[in-house]
Amino acid sequence: MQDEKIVELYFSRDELALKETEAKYGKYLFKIAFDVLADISDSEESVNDTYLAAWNSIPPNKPTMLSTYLGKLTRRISIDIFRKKISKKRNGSQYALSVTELEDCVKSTENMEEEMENKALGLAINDFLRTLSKESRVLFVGRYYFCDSLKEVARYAGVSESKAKSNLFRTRQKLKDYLLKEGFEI
Amino acid sequence: MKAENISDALNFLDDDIIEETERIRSKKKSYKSRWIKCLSAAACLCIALVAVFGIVPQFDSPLRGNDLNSANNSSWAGTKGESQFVDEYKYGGGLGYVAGSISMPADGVYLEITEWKKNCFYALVLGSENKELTNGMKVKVKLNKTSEYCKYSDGGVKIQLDGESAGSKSYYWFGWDEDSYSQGRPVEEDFPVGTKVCVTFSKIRNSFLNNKADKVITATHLYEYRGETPARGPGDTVRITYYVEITKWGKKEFEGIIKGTVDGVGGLPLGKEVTVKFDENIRVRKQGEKFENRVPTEEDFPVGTRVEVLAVEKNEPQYLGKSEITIYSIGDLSMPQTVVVKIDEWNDNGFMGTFSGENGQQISYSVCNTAIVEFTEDTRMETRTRLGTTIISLAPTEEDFPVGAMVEVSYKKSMQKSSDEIVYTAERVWLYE
Repeated sequence: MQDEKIVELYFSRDELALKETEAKYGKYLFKIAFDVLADISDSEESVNDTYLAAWNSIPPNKPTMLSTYLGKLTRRISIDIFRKKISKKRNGSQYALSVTELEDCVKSTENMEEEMENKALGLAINDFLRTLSKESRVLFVGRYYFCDSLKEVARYAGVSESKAKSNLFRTRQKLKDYLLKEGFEI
Repeated sequence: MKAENISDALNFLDDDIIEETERIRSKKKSYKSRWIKCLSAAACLCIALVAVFGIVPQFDSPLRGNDLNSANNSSWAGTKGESQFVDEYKYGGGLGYVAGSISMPADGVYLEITEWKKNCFYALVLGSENKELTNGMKVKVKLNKTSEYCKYSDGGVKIQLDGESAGSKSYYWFGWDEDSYSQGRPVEEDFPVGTKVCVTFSKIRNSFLNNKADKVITATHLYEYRGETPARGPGDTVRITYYVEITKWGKKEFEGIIKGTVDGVGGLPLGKEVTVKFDENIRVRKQGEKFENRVPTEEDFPVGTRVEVLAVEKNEPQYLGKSEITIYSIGDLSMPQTVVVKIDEWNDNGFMGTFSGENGQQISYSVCNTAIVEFTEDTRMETRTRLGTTIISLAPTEEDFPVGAMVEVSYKKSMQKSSDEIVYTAERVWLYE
């Protein structure tokens, strides 16, 4: 089914939208989740959360590129799950647990600020990426957005692993300079 | 700012930037998987081809070294590698060195180049086993980029030996230089006008310009079998081992057709008709027996038999018309002969079938259509395993090779029964794959 029709189903609150989304993008979303989480059950959970997030966010949002929209949701959810897992592992003490509980007190305001900062940062990175060659851009987005392995990005970018590695290194250096120039604190 | 912030910020990337990578990710992936599929398929095909054809000798390229012996004798009872006949020379103070043997490829023709044009040349047919090409015929030879060619090398082994009954001064022996094989379209500098070449070809058709050529062939392999450096110097004698198929017996001679040579250079072209005369010291050897100093007879080698003869030539070979050679020894042929037949009908004494090829190779033309395969008490069936080993069992029957099966038959002798029928006396039969 075409993306437009799937989006229409979301708008008409037809649960078929979820089935169609799963049929068309299930594997794609799972890959994104798995690249972040490296765990099957966590990835499945992340993808299910993505469907729920999509159901809750469409409408009002009307994505023009459903795959990208869903991919962003999955990525964000997966990173959240990952952080929670890391936090649990790292902070096994009661002190750590109590601090995590206290985070609820500050969460809303801090999150808002952080999200605004991230959005500004995202826009800057957008601009920066447009200055790069297509090859460098694909390597960067593949490695840091899709979290594909170095081997994978090198393969689909059509370069050797060592070339991909050095290209990414140079791009990171350029990004650092660019962000400093744009006034971000690093 | 933490690295995590940058990672989170990437969620705000524009959709078109993400989609650009997304597209390449999926596209490249599918390309690779298709590529892998193609490679896998090609690899499987190669394995299958090697499995099926790996042990079959390749006759469409010039044979070098002991290729022919090792390839052909795989189906020949009792003889492997060099023939006993050759061994006799080796240990009897004769030739002492065998550079290799060359046999007429199933679709090969011997030519003398008369004129060069762009990407082709014109030539005269000196000898051929292809019934469409007769001696003296004019042909146009088309060359393409995938042709393989080999120039005659005079850097080969040069052996000087004392002559035996011929009393000659020296023998020259020229080997093929492996490195001189090239791939591509040869040019006039490689094979100037007057050069004699052997050409195997993929296509043959009638020529539209009848005054220039009778036939047009497309060459796949081309090699020079006699270079500018003469294979024999003035007064020198060349000793050559020929494989001759006997066509007619006379009182003190027989007539035959050259079917192969051991050295392959400096001698008569394959397919050439010859009158074979005997030296007064001629020796005869029948299979399993020792040499005897006597004149061979029709009883020893009936018409249709292929024999191995040693000729010592003092003069330049005569390419046109019938040639005459004098031989100093004659023996049972050590080179195996096989025929590929599609079985049409079984009878009490063997089977009758459609002639489909010779010497392990299927060919599109045939000298005659019908092959009558006769069994003797010694005829055996071979079952070839994938590893190349053979299992020999008793006389084959219709159960082993039903009507319609394609079989290869090694035979001791053949006899032209009529213009369309040849009788083969079978030695071994196996399924042709």
